[in-house]
Amino acid sequence: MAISRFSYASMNVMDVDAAVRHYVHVVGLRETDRDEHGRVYLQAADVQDHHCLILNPATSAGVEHIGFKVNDPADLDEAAAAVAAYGQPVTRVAADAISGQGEGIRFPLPSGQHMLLYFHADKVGYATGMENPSPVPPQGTPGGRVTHLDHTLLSAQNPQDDVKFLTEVLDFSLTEKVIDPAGNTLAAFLTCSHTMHDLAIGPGPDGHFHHMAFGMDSRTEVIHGVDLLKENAVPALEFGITRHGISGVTTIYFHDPSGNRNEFYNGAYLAPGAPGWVPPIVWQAEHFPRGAFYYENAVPEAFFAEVT
Amino acid sequence: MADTVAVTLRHAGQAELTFPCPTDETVLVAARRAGVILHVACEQGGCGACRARIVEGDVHYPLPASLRWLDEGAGSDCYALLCRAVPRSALVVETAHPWKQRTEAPLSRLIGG
Repeated sequence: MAISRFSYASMNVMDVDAAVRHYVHVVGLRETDRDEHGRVYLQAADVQDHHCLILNPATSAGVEHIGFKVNDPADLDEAAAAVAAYGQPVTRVAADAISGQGEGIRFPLPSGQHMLLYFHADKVGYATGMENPSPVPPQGTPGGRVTHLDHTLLSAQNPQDDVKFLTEVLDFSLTEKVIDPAGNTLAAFLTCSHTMHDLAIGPGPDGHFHHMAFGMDSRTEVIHGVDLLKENAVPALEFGITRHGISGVTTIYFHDPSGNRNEFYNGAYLAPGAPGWVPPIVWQAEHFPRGAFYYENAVPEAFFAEVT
Repeated sequence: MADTVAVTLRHAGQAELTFPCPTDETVLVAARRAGVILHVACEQGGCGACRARIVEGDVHYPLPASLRWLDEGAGSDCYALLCRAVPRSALVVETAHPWKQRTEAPLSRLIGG
């Protein structure tokens, strides 16, 4: 089985119009589709697939499910069997139940958030076009200069259970982890592709969403993104622009109009290889503040306590 | 002009605190005006940072507040998200996190002359 990438987040929002304005004019995504359920689909500039974000009209904020692509249609059957054998319930999702997307399988993580695996995505092409393109989007393109949706962090009461499931059943690799003095995993950073994390699990209540991160090409673009956040008075974490010790990236966190946390970031290292090939970096809990926020060497209370 | 009601904050280990809140403003905005710094994160009714148990009184939400944080684990209690809650009546709430008070305004001497 081969899950090849984290490809989209399906998010619940309490005001779809406000969310679209945010994700287009602040984050910098382009709207690619709408469906009869009132869902809006968006994609970043440098990805050809139909969507990296689905906005669902809802009465609560949070994550509806997260989508990952597999390398081959046959991987879906293999994954469904492996997930069911582990004891997690699997449901089939018909082609086009989600706009622009082929058939898939859906199941909950041990912490309750739902994952969806699928193979086919309709193509909308790069923002710059598919024939004789300019290397950069047109001047005046709204929002931050994000290239792609990079990763997400979900909260779990027992992160170790999710890590076991993701590594043993779905062939994710662990690239970094935070452990308590007894050796229990408090937070874990996992990859299914070439980047240091596609999916991270952090401490918190089951079933909740911590953040999703949009990648940028340089630290300069992150600074431009911060200027945009300030100009638009978007609620942002008090730490930022800053750097994570874990992954080493330059980063700022902020919130969409339903309170779902977003991140602009640049500079993650690559961790390619077969499952288990890259031994994980280990952070002892006492060093976690430096791992979380390298410049401040502290973890703000509002960062880990709050999830949607 | 909107009526003004009293909002009272309670939290274990802190002395009770009361400030005025117009009935067309969120508790968060009124708290800030009164120099009270509530624990907030998203300020968009989504993340639950400002969640508080309503001891007395009634609120409404002109802008959305995430139902899961109003309902989750609430049992028979009633919870509010103070960043979006607007009081209909005098309000007593028990906050999940301690609040801080702005004890001085360092700029006031410069600006006020």
